[in-house]
Amino acid sequence: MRINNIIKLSFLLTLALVSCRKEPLEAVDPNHRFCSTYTSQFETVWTGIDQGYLFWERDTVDWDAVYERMLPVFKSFDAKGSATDDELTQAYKDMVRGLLDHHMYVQVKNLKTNHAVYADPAWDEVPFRDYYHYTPFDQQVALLSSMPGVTEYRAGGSSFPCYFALFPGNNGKKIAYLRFRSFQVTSVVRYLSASELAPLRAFYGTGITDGVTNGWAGRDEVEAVIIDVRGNGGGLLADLKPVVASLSTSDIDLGYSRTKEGLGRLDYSAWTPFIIKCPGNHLSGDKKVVVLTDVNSASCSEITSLMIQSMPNGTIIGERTYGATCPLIDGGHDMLYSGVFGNYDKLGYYVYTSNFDVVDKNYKSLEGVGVTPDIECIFDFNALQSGHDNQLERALEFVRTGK
Amino acid sequence: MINYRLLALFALLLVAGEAFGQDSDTPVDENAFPHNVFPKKAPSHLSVGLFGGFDNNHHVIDVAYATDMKYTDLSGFTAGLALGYHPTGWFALRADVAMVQKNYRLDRDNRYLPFVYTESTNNYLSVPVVAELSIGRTFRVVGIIGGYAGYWLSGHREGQSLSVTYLVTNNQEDTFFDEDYQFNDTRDNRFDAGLVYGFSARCTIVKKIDLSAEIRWYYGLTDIHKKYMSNLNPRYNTTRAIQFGIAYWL
Repeated sequence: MRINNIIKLSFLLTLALVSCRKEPLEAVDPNHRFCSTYTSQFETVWTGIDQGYLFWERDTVDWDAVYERMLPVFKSFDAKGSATDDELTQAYKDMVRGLLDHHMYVQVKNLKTNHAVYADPAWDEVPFRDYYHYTPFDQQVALLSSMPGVTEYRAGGSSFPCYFALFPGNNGKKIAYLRFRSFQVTSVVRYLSASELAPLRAFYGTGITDGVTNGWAGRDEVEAVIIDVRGNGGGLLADLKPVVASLSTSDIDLGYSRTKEGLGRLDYSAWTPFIIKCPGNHLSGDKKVVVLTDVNSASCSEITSLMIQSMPNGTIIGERTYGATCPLIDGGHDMLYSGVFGNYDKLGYYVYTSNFDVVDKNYKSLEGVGVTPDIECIFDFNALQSGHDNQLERALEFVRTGK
Repeated sequence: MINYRLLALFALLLVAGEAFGQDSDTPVDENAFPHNVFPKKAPSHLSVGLFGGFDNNHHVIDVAYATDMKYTDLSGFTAGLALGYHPTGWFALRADVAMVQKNYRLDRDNRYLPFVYTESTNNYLSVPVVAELSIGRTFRVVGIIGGYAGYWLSGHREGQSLSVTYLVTNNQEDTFFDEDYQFNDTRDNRFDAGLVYGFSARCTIVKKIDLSAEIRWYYGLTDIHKKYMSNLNPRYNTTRAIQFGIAYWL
């Protein structure tokens, strides 16, 4: 064969190889898709989780198999022209079952009934823990003012339930106690009345978000502080510095965080240090810091627990927490291509899910697991019925005895 | 899309092929065409060489609706060893062992994340095997084409990322990262292969020693990610390198 024939053949072969790159796929934006069928709702929710879910590196759910298994179910709804709310709820529960994200819930409008249906993968796990219970927040705080030795007591308003109490400690010293229902402190200080903010001011001081100033927590006669996050479902990350890091004497290194960096399941950003800086006004000395947790302590409450656990004088008492340790920001999907997507009112679907993966310094994640207390104390409903908050009493005992 | 570099290269090679096609059994006048431009004999059958230079990588990805993700080319370095086999003066086979960097940068054109970016440095060990056709004697123009196979040895990432710490502090100092890339066996396809082609200018400066300047393209045909999910857009690298070398005729 002449050499120029070889070259011509090579030319054709090369052109064929050049065209060997795969064509890009059609990608649907799950954050802005109008859906008019049960199938398109399912495909949009599935795609949003496929592209934006944060935990595919660790999650064991075979998401492609979920698509193959569930697509016929939703097609059958379209074929018969309707689905009952129960049928649709069950279908979405089957879809998200086993996913690790304990923040997640899926809310979809039933196109036939116009009712909202919900599916929450954590709800397939948390209630089945042998220590699971509802947090009787109101019953527990109702006991505070009458507990033995309480010398100061403040209660906030119903818009931001918050309680402060001062318990007797050792050698005439005091134990400052603070409980609030959600992490909204940096927000509510802007508009709540002085009486509603009284518990926070009693604990931190006049400025509240300035850290520990002239409140009880910083006084020399207080030997320990207890932050009670039982039943606290979380809230604003901005609270962590003034509310929690101010109880430390140094910056708190919790590990690392990352987010998504593309539409591929495993397109992650780099890990960045997760360090909460200690504000200028903080606890001094070696006061004990205790956080009281239960199974319904979630999200910011769990980060708070980890922060306090990392303090040299910090202790977690109570129950293993909910397991929603990875935070999120609303509206994050358009920025991070992960996390919350959809719009229930406009589009008929909404998915609430994390967009920041958080691990400890050994790259261990507690998502779906929760924070294990240093001292376990399981809620005793019978004790509560007889006027005792057994978990708070255990925390006070620990401060007083060191055990 | 028409690849004009490849078309030009093949035009050169076809001219060379047609010229060589005039070869016959008649006695050869080494100073007459075609042997004055397509020398029948090389100084030696084998040559070895070293080369090094700069490269610039284009990361090819369809970002779909993530239109604020802007990938831009980044420069890097390349260096390696070359082994040439020269059965004639105008045709050779060459195998290299080369370190090639395939770097790129990702910026976010997003008003909420103007500071976020990632610069990725990726080190590949590549083994290109190419055919070379030369025109000229002391000063030669060489067209090269072939294929390469390689391995993604290591990577490094630095930049700024939206972090939880930043959400708490609102301080951009808390967004920086600088880390070695952690490979993920499910995601990363470390095998790399594709086409390599280019042009080289070579000059014999003293007996048995050539200097060269070369521009070449590595056109990746392997997705840098494995097909680990059904809706995954492929990613490729196209790398152009300008490299300078020295070769010794054994």
